[in-house]
Parts: sequence; structure tokens; C-alpha cells
Amino acid sequence: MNTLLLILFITAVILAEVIPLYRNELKREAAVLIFLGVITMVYGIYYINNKYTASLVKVMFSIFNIQ
Amino acid sequence: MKTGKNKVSVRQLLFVYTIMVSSPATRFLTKSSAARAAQAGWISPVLCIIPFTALIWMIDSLVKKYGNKSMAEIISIILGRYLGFAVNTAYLLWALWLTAMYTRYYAIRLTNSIYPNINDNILIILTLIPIAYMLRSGLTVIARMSEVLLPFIGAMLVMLSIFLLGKVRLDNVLPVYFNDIIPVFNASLGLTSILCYLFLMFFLGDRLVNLKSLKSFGYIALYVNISSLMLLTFITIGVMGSTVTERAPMPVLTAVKQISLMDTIENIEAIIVAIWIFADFTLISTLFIITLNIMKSMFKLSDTKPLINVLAILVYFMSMGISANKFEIEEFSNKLLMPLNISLGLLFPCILFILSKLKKGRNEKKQPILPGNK
Repeated sequence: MNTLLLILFITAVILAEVIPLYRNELKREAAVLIFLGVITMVYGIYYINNKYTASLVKVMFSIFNIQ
Repeated sequence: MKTGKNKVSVRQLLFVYTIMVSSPATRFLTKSSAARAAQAGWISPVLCIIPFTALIWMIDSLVKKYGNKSMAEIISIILGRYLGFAVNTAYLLWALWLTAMYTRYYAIRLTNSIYPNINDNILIILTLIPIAYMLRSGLTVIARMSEVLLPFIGAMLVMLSIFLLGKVRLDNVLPVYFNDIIPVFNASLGLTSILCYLFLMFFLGDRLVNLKSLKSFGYIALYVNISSLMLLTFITIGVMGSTVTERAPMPVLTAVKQISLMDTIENIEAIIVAIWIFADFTLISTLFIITLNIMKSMFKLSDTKPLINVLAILVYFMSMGISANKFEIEEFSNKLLMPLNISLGLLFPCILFILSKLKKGRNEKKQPILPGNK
């Protein structure tokens, strides 16, 4: 349910910003916005489903091999 | 200095920088200086003068050579299209990471000091909404706000220091021997890693005017930052001692809590909390603008306003998901953030500066000798 709400919310935000961009033929801006929106959505879904364990710091520690 | 719409002067940018740096420095510097250099920790800001002066000199040289361009564009010119894009992506991720991290730190600081029963996510939402709203007006609002409030913040710092001066115990800050040089150097790395954010500020280079005075205002900013941070560290370690400063969750706040004037004026730590809130607000919004400006330069966008809301949502999720608890994020700051900041904020500018000089030399060699030229 939370995931669905998040998807709807982010889609609404993206649409609200993208429509004026398409009207003004700012396609590059629209593409970047959609790309950023997709990243936000993916990370948001991940965070909502792993609320208590999600940790980017742990990911960074594993990338740089720090205990 | 008159500035156009959406443009700020170098002086205003350095005002923003001074406020921006004060927030992580007050949280991190006193603890790390006390932990690494004990009673000599208060000297550590002095050693930052050398790398910081070098950084100002290198940035000034780059900016003078390439004119009113953002640092992302300068990187692309020097390193070429593809390598430049890769390096700019690294800076974009760094700026985004810092935005999310300092947003989380802001919430942690408030829950630890004045709002212990409020969830971090409420505080983060309540910060990001006004920031997203304010950013639509651009950098000029933050610059003017900082220009007005920095003198007040400075005056507050001096006033609090005078109030605390009587409680400073000399045996907490002395003796300082030659043996302390290595610990003081280690302690100075912490502040250097924070002062390196100056390089990030020049990703806003295309919005700057009066670049000629960068060096002179840069050195004034250096003097103001180093002296104020030195004073803050001296007072904190002097009042509480290095052992307590090292272990206290918020040493500056704990020191300020001890102020008592004639047993009537007490509990004036609210001043410090108000300064922190303003400094964090400036820090987060400036990093937000830097992130947007890097994206603007990388993808050649005409306007970044449509990205603000989506980026604010991403920053919210990142700040909540950056660490499961306070200890993880502090561990990250101590172990990984410092070398990362120094690499991207100090070492890479050195490489960029050398490459720009080499490129200049190569271009001069390639120039055809015309009949009129000797």
C-alpha cells in the first residue's frame, strides 16, 4: 500500500513538472526530470520496504572495504 | 557591489561559505581536535592555513583563466568531454551525498538538543519544504540572508566566548610542546576536510560576479573562519577539558550551557541552537543549489527549477536511508568522509590546476608562428 502511494505521489510530482516542460519544448529538461524521478522512485521503494535496515553508509563501507 | 538577477558577488558567496562551514565545524571540529590532539587541539585550525591558502590560489588561477564558468564546465574543458563527464558525475554524487548527510545530521542535532521526542523524518520534511520553496527564488536569497546574518552570528560567538572566558582553565589548554606537532597536524585534517567545501562553491561559478576580488576576499574568509573556529575550540576545550569534549555528544552546546551571568542570565544555549538551525538551513540549501548547478552544466539544461521537487523527495529518502542509526553516520564521518572530502576538495583541484597549466603550455607550443610574431 505504501509503495503504491509513493509511486502515485512521485508520478503526480513528475507529471506536474513535465507537462509545462513539454509545452515549452524543453525536452532535455523533461528527460532529466523523468530520469531523476525514476531514481527517486526506485530508491524510495527500496527504502520503504527496508525502513529499519536501509543504510547507504554500509554500502559505502563495503565499497571501500572498511570494517 | 551591485549584482544582477540570479548572480551573486564573490564576497556574498564567501559569506555563505563561512556560515555553511560553521555548522559541520562546530559539530565535528571540537570533538576531533580534542580526541586527536588533547589539550593542544585548539591550535589545529592554524595548520589549515597552508592548504586553504593553496586552494584559494589554485581556484583563483582556474577562475581567472576560464572566466565566468562553473567548475563543472572548467573540468570538462580541461579533462575533455568523457573524462570530464565522469569526474562531474563523481562531484554530483558527492554533493548529493553531502546534502542528504547534512539533512540527517540536522535532524539528529535537533532531536539530541531540543526535540528529543520528535521523529527525524518530521524535522527533515519541515526543513526540505521551505528549502524547496526558497530555492525557486535562486541563490541570491541565500546570499543576501547570509550577508545580513553573518555579522550577528559573529557577534554572538564573541559574546558567548566573553561570557565563557572566566570558566576557561589554563591547565585544560596548556602545556603545548613541540611533541604536539604530529597530533595537531592529525587534528587539523578534520577541519581541512570541511574547509575543502570551498571548491564545491565554485560549481556556482557561472553565477558569480566580481571574480577579480576572489583572492583578497578569500584570504579574509580564511582569516575569519580560522580565527572563529580556533576561538570556539579554545573555549570548548578550555571550559570542559579535552577528555570531556571528546566524549560529549555536543561539546559546544554543553560548554554554552555553563554560562551564568550573576546567577540571573542562564540557559542561553537557545542562541547556539538558533545559529545552528540557520547554519544548517544555509548549508543544505547551498548544497542543494550546487547539486542542481552541476546537473545543469552536465546536461546543458536551461532551467533547473522543475528538478527541485523531485530532488527534494530524493534527498528526503536518502537522508532517512543514509544510516540506520546515529552511530553509523558518525563512524562514516570519522573514517571515510574526511579522506573523501580531502581527495575531492583539495587533491583533485591540485591535479586540475597542474593539468590546466600543462594544457596552457601545450597550447602555447602548438600556436603557429606567424610572420609578425617574434
